[in-house]
Amino acid sequence: MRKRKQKEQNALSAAISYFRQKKNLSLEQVCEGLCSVATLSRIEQGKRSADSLLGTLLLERIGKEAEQLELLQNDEDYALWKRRRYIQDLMQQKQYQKIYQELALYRGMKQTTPDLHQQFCLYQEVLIELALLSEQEKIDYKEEVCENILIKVLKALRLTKPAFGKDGAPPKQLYTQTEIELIQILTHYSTPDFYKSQNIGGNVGFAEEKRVELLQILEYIEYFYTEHRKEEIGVSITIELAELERTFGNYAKAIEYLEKGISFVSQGRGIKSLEKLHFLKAQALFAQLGAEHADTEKRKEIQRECLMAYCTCEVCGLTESAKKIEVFCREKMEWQITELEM
Amino acid sequence: MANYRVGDVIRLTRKAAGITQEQLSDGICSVETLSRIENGKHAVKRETYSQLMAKMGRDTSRCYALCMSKDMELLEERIWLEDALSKFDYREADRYLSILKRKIADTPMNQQYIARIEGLLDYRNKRIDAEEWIKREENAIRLTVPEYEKYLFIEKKEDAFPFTELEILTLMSLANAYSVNEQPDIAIRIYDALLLGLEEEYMDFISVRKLRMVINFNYIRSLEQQDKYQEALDKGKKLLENAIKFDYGRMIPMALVAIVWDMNKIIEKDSNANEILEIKRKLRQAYYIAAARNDNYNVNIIKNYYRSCYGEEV
Repeated sequence: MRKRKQKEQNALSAAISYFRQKKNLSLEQVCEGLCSVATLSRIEQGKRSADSLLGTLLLERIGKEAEQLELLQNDEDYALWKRRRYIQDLMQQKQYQKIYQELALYRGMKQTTPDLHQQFCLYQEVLIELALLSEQEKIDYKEEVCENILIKVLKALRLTKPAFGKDGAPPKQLYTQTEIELIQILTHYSTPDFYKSQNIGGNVGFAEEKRVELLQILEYIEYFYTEHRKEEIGVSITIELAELERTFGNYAKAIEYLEKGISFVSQGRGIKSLEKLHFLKAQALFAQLGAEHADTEKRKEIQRECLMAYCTCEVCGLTESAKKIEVFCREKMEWQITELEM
Repeated sequence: MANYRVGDVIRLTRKAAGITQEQLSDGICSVETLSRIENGKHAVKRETYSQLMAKMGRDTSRCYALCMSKDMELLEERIWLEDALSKFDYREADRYLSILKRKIADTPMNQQYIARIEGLLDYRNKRIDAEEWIKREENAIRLTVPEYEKYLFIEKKEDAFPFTELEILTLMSLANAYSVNEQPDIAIRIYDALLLGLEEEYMDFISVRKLRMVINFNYIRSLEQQDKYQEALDKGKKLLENAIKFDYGRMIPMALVAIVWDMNKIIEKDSNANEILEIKRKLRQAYYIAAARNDNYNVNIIKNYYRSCYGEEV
């Protein structure tokens, strides 16, 4: 009898069970907020199949992605999965109205794990609201609107991380991609007042709480993730940490994080945020320069960073960012970037 | 790795095998059930799926994770191997492949994976010539599709055979081998068949998109071999556009260099100063983007190319 069950263990369940045990993780750690221990145990044994969202999230917690497995899905599950992919694709193309329509359809479809699907939908809404906000006003966010978004972020996050920001949350956390991105949004847009009003952080204070959250995630990413995923998810965390250190004047530390981010991109396949990383690095190097303004070697290094950022912007059509780099070079470095280009 | 839609995979496999729903369902399920399965209206049972696919000589497991069966650890080693390949580090790739070979379970799919990469590495590390590489890739694809040639002469996408991602990569390798063996016409026929097949939506579009970009990159080389520079240039521009749109940064410097190369070929006879400036500018962009990604392989290629074209440093 036992043997027959074993035989039915599929790629997904085998992967979850293998990697969980390899990384010495308990069932509780992996399934926290996603499903019950009993359910995870049955999934691992192949006695129960996970729908593609639950399967993906479980794999993500242990640092793997379903992408690495070839999955043939039921049509029902495939339909949900396909619609999620479609929504993510629309997001890339900034077709927000269409996404709202798709989300309405998605919410109406049959789901076996409603909380997880609800988190997916809320997260998409948050992404749209943030995008619209930054389109209207350049990050000069209207506090009222922003607070509503942050409350939604927290609601989404606590669907799978009920103890987030509360005392007694376990220190060694595992994260899904969505959880990481939600936390990143929270740390990026929150004000000290918001943290206080939501009772996040307790006594350690706003900045320190942010740093701790981000460092925990970075540590998790570095330990669990493959190169490809470090790029996809880790880069924004390194940028966030670098910005935080920069506001404290810790330029060396900021550069360290940025270089980590650059190495994440170079080990991966993409180009997203690459211009940001190099431009931030140029700025941090410049700030570090201080009195040694005339150091030609250092100036060259900064110029090279600017050129890398600038070319990336030009090719990828990021004209706004390109202009910023140009201005920085002209005003701070007293150097014309386009002149050197041609 | 790709995701596939069960119904479409069954339907396309059946059509490619040239059998009717009646013939396929006979003794397994009713014709009506098969029809509903193919249309995605009926969830197929694992047992039924296995029986149907076995009857058509295809892999029967519903979740086909490559390289697993014996040892999940290999999943990670496989990622390292593919990372090394993506950085053109063929020596490093050699090392990972030999580890993988020792540990991998003996299934046709795994063997195909190994054979494809072994062929590529043996050729790149100069242990075999192009003709031998062609033979290796042919043997590799035959492990799972013995009569693969049959499926390369399709005219309509509906007649496409639902190759798995792995099979597509193997066929692309085969085409690349033909290309380096100075047979670009055969290479192009294979690329065309693969691109046409990808239009049929049995596989998720993220995988399809990546595969398309990689196939098109190789396609450009074959067009250049046939001196079709304008066509190659158009494809290169499209490729660059997609690489930017879909965040495939690794491809961007390579696409830019291909564009520059074709532009240089086209204007060879009559070039004006503006065009030369434009080309130089593109090469510098390619250089700095490659540098921004710590992509030393392409940095060096561009540096040398720039020097050979203009007699100066980037």
